[in-house]
Amino acid sequence: MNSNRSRERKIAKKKLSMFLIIGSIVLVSLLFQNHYNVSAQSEETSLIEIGDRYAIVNWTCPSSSIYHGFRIDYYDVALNQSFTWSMVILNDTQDITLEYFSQVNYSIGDETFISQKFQTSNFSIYLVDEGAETIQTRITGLEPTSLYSISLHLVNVSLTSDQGDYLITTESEVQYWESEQFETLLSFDDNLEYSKLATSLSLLVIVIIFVAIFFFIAKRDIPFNKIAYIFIFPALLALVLLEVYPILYGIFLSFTDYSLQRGETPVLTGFDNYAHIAENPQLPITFTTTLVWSVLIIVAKIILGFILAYIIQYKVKRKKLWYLMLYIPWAIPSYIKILSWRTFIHGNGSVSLFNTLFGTNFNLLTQPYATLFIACFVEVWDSIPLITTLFLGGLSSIPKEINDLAEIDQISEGTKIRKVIVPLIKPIILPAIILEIIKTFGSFNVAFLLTKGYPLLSYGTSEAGVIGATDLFSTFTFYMFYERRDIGIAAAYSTIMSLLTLFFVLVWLKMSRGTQSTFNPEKKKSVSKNRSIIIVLFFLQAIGYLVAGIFGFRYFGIYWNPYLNYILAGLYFTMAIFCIVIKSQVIKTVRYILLLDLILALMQFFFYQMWYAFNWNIFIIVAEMYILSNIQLSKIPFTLPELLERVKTVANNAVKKIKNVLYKIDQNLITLSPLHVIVTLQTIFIFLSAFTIEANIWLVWLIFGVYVTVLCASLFSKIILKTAIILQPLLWCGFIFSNVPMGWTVILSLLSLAYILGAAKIYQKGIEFLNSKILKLINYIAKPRFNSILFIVILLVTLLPFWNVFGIALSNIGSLVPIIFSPDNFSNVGFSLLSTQEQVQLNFLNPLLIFLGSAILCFGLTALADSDKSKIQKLAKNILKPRNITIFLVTILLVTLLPLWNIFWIAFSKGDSLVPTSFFPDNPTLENFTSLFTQEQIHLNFLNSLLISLGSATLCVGLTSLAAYAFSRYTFTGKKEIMVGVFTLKMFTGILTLIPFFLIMYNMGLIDSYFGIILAYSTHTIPLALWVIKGYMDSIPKELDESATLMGNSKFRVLRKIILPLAGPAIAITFLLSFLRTWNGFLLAFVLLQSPAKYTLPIKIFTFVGSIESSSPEWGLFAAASILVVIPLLIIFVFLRNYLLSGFGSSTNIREI
Amino acid sequence: MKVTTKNLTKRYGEKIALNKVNLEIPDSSFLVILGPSGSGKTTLLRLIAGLLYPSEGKIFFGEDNITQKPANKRNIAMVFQNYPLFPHMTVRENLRFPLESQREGQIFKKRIYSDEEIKAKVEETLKLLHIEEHTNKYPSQLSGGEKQRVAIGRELIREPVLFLFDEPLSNIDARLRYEMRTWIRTLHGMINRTMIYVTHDQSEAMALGDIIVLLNEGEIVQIGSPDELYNNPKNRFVAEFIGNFPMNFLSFHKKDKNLILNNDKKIELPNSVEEIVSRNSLEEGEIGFRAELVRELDSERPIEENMLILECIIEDVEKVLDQQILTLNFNEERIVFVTKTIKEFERKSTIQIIVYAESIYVFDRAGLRTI
Repeated sequence: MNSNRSRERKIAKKKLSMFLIIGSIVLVSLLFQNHYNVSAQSEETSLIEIGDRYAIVNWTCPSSSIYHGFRIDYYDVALNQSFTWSMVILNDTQDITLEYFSQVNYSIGDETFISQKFQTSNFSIYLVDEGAETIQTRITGLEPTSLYSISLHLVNVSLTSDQGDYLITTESEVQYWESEQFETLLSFDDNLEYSKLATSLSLLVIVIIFVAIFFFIAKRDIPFNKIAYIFIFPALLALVLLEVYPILYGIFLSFTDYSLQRGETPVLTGFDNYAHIAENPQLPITFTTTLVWSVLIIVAKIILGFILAYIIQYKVKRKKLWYLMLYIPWAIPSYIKILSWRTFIHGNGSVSLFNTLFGTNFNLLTQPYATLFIACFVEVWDSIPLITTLFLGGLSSIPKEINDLAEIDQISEGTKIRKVIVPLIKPIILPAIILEIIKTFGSFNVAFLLTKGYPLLSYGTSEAGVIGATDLFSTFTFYMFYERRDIGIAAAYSTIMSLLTLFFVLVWLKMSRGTQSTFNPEKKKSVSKNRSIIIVLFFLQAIGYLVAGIFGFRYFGIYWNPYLNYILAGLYFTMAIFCIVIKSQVIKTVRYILLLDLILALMQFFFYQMWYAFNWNIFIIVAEMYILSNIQLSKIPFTLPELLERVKTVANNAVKKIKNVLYKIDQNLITLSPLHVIVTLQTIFIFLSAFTIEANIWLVWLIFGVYVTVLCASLFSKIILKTAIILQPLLWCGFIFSNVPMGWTVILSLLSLAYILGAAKIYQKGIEFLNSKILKLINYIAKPRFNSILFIVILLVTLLPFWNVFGIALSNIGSLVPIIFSPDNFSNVGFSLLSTQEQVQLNFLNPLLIFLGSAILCFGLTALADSDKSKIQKLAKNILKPRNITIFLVTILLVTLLPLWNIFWIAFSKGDSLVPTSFFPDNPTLENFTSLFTQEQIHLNFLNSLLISLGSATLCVGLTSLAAYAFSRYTFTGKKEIMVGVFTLKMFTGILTLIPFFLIMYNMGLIDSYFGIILAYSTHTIPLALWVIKGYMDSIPKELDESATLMGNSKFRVLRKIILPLAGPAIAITFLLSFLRTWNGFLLAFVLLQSPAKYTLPIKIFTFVGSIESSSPEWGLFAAASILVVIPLLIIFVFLRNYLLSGFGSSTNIREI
Repeated sequence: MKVTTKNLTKRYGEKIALNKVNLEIPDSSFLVILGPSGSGKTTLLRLIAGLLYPSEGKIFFGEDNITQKPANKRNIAMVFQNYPLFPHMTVRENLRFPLESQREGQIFKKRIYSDEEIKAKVEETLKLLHIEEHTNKYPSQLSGGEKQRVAIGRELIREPVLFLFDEPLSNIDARLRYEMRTWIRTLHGMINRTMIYVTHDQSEAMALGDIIVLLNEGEIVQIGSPDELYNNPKNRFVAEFIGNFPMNFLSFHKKDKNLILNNDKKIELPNSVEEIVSRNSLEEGEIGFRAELVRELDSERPIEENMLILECIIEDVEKVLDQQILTLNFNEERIVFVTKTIKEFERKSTIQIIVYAESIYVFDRAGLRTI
């Protein structure tokens, strides 16, 4: 009995829940349904758009009709009444007017015209030319969210005049078309109300779900942990609302058709946006740019960062001083750095300090290759302090004994780096490097502030606009969002980006988990697995080349010769089959093929514009080569058809012969010394300068010729190398007689000075009888202890007269700067062959690269011939001597300071003059500074920045210190997962969540309000702050708060009385870090703040110069404001650098969670 | 305050730190929890303190079940190993803080002690601890012993019902440790509260405890007074763990009704021991005897019935102050022998030692003692 009842009840419950589920599905599907769906009755007539207060109807005029007009009626369902909106009259005496907007347009053929409006006493009529083929009418005067239908009547009317008024009388009519009922959209205001409501509701739902889950977990955990949940709740809630929800919302938006310009509610369209993106020809271009950009930057960062860190760690004295010098750029906000580089290189469209100094003609608006490489350079320069810190952290974790041991065992520098240092720092550095990859991949600031995507590419046009050579994924997304206001598509772009980021994040998580601070031997992956990967890759490449050959798809093949595609496809195909059928590897042949393919792909990269035809096989080839390098050759028997074997032996013989010749030359070569390097550099720079100053100045070319000869000769004889000192005066003569631009003079005289100093060191033993006072002085200088300081002093002293002598001449040179890099100049150098193709746009990089390439090739060949490599090693050792290292570091420092000096000069000089004419401004004024405060009222922006930064820092630290305590002291359910989640969220900030974040703020009415931006920035710093504070709290003994608890204190009191006072330093530093991040924050403030009165300092400073295409940048104001911003930051940095660096260095690994 | 635990269990994931501990601690007793590292003794203490929450089981203070009560409401004192004085407070402030923390009321809490009371109590405690001259110093300026004294004084001052010590002396040097040990015992006599003391040092435990609880791998092995543990070890582990020198063990097995030691050497065990063996019908097992109770065979005195005589080779002689510790080899088994004679022993020479039957323990194969 009982069981029957309960069964019934169960069935009833099931029914109820089924009903509820089905009901909710139906309801949800209703929500997502398109709420208008109107199709036209007549074939030619259709309602093409429905707005809030209007509808647009398009129809074709009947070709032969006795009627000469249309009456347009609309029927209001609610009022049950019909109204006549207007009439369209076909008229033969039609003037074509140039009015830009009308309710009625018509077209004849492909051209569109605008009708004339004519007011009568009972109707307003529109006159349309008789020959009109289609007419488009925008019916206005409708009410939002109400039902209408529209009908068209063919009419014959007559116009009667009555005392100056015109009256329309209808003579005959017939119905032409009637639409179905439709509902107008929400009005813009209502729409806003609606989305505000929707957003609030969805936020509420999220909060309720979050609280429910949170409560559920907390309930299940042990009672003593409950307080921990209270502690982490506020921070987690903030993160969920302002980080997690935007990500989900962004994904939702990417499936909708939503444009802010039209002001409507998002309509689900499925994968339309993605389909649209896939069809867009700009996607591969942007993708190419982003890939090339990321790869170039990451490689440069890693190499430079390692070299700098290695030098600072092992090679120099006064480590701390160099450290400080290196970090000065880090203290400067990146928007100022980037804009100052723009000032330095681009200026007012090629009128800039750089161009004046070197006689070049850089223009970031027109030269794609140059712009891309400069942008990469700036990005690398911007982030080199950070990556160097990472490497330094890794290097300092290597026990000093290991380094000493390597020295005692006389292991050479290169071997030590390869075999000892790199394996040891790899596990520590790798996660950090992946973080850098994520950051570079989503980098926005440089591409936006420096170039804004320019120069535009002619083939980068689509309906979405034109894209440029430096348009990254991020800037393109931003463009779609900020200028086109096409939310759906922009959201789809950022979702794709998020997915890629997610991939890197997963890799990062795996790596940070798997690695330990000590070296752990890893199992090598089995060769057979790699082999099968290679086979798959070969097949893919073969298919790619086939597709490229057949359809001309240019991104996976050779563009300029389709037959090559087939050949390569065939080669890859056979290789893949060889790999399967013949079990033994054909690795050597494969390598040659890969090399051939790589060369072809790189040729395409440089000979065609890479944006147009970039062969993505480059990356696959590099990956394959990497895999191949892991397969050990000796293990695999080499069996190939004899034909190939014979070819191979022939090739080998040839190589051997070349090697023999090289050996013979090599025997005569003398040991390379730093002087060789200096002379080589001098030669290269003379060559470069010869290009920039007018090519027919025979003197420079003569000097160049002499240098080349001496350089070649000096490889065989030490005496000639020493006598190269005679060349130095020759070089100086060259300066004087050929009006070399300033920059070359400085560089060449620096090198010449270096040579003299180096030569003096060599001479000092042999010519002791010449022990005059000058030599004594040189000896003194050459002592390594005083070397670096004195060197700088001498440099400055030598530089000063130059400014006097050449400063005057500069103004003349400025006007004489020739347009060097136009293709015409190269026709006589033999590059005209290449310019036959339409796509080829040669710039200076081609000859330069060819020259550098051949130079590297020469050195490479020498190195190849040199079997024991002792000479190269010796050279490396010589270069790595402390004295030469100092020179290297000083050079880097000079490069760092040059744009800053430019800014400094501009700030104190009058007006908007951009190019310094003397070391100090001629008539230094504070004009720019005064106008900043009087005319621009920058102190108000200063206050804005202060308010926002203080607000967000307080909020962040308040939320975080509570959560950090809980994370540090309790082991509650899901602690690890939450920590990892919080750090993962850090990667998804910036451009990835910008769009949904903006929309949420927009819908909540928080745009252009201090509160909104404070919220935005406070949540962005929570992960970092959590890390720093938690780390510090971990170092406070647990027993302290335990004993305080046992004394009868509640957890809050323990936190207040014991933990917070003890964690004071960490909290202060976190506050400062958070403050600085907001203070320097650009993107969010730029998007969220709209009225100039609320601009923060970065936005204000940006408005002075605008983006790169802006017509009237106010350099003076920009420079002055930058100085005002930078100086307090520098002071803070110099005093608090240790704390700040510890903060950002530690935030990059999650190993210790 | 009587403290009772019922089936107290603590698990960390798969690992069981404490397994069904039932303990009854009488009022105003001094209980020492002893055990090797990793035996769960600190876990037990922290469970009683309320710093950890048990996976299973209950804790009673008197008759109240306080398992759910958070640590700050249990009114107990705990002295930690690394004397955690608040580094940002002076000695006086450190002593004041627990009194200031005593509050009553539900939402708007009020201090229990007035300023005058606090001042008087602090002065009193300072005098008691002999640290008047350090009143205004910060913890970083104190020596280890002083820090530990302030730490204990800080707990003392607010008159808790229960004192917990978590290896409080292990970070102090040996001489001071002895001094502090005496002081803690005196303190217990003076305030007469229940104290629970955790240590891994058996000599400390023997010196301090009224009752000793010996833990191993999360389970109680034996509870009893120090003498009981020393004289009547329940099993091999207790016998091994208690005592300054490791106990000597010789394994035996039965063959043709004869007891045979290792490598088949027949041995004449004293009758009383053989009786135990036959009474429990042991096929194999071990006999054990303490190094302190071994004597050298005095040829002048007669051989008695209840003596076990072993002939060994001296492997090593170690002189520690007045004692000599001899490592002997008896049929490839190691025997330690401690003596206070001034006689010089030579290495590789043979020696005959005797053990009296009453100091021989018999253990079965599982290590349980049999009587």
